[in-house]
Amino acid sequence: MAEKQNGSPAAGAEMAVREKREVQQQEGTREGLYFEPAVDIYETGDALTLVADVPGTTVEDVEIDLRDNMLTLSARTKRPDERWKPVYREYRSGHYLRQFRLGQQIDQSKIAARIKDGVLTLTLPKAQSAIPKRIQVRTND
Amino acid sequence: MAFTAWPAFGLDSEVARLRGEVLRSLLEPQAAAPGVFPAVNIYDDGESFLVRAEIPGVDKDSLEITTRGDQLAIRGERVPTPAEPSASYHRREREGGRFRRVVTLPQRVDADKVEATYREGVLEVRLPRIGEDKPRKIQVG
Repeated sequence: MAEKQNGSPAAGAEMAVREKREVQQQEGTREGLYFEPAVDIYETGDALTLVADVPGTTVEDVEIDLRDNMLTLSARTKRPDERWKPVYREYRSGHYLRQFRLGQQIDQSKIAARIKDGVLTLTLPKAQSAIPKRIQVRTND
Repeated sequence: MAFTAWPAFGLDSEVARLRGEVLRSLLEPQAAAPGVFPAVNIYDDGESFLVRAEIPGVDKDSLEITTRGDQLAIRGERVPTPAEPSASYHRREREGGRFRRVVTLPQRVDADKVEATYREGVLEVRLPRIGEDKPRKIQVG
């Protein structure tokens, strides 16, 4: 690993393969292989943002489900062309599935998703009641 | 003279077992050496090899693909999304950095006819076998 430079997290760093984590699911719930996508989740004053690596999918393949503060993210990849016979394999391909328990009330109607180059960015705006409001402190004089 | 007949099913099952072993050794994911990125899969359709790698979030212009003989080199960089200054991170699993990988193909390929695409975060490099290495179909007269 190279030294960190200029405070930027990975400037000059070299990447390494991280083994895909297969989702251990109860039998019969979903068909096919599922993997947990790597994610970044960050929070700003008015929203939570989730960034997930979901190569091989477009926004139409993604399904977002939010109920009782449980966010389920799933994305289905296409079946590879049968014409290509595998001769060497270092990674497995499959669909994506991951669940998160959110500590924030989310405004469901304003959830937005976009995908660029296999990276999903999901914006989850906080419900009005969850946005911290600044309270004016009054004094008596 | 003693003669031991092979029970037919025994030989068949041995052949099947060996074939199974060979296939498994070819198809089971090989752990990429540590520090290597990206992991690759190689496919074959008889005419060409297809090298596939999942590298979401890479700027296409940073990708550099070169071939020589039976070697394919892939270079690129994944620039991590800059953190929003006001954001607090709940999870940070996605990595960024530079990568370089050299893949040895099963045979020499025609370097002039190599084509690469980067779509939905998946890199695909198609490498036609070189003329004389192509398995030829011989007509029986």
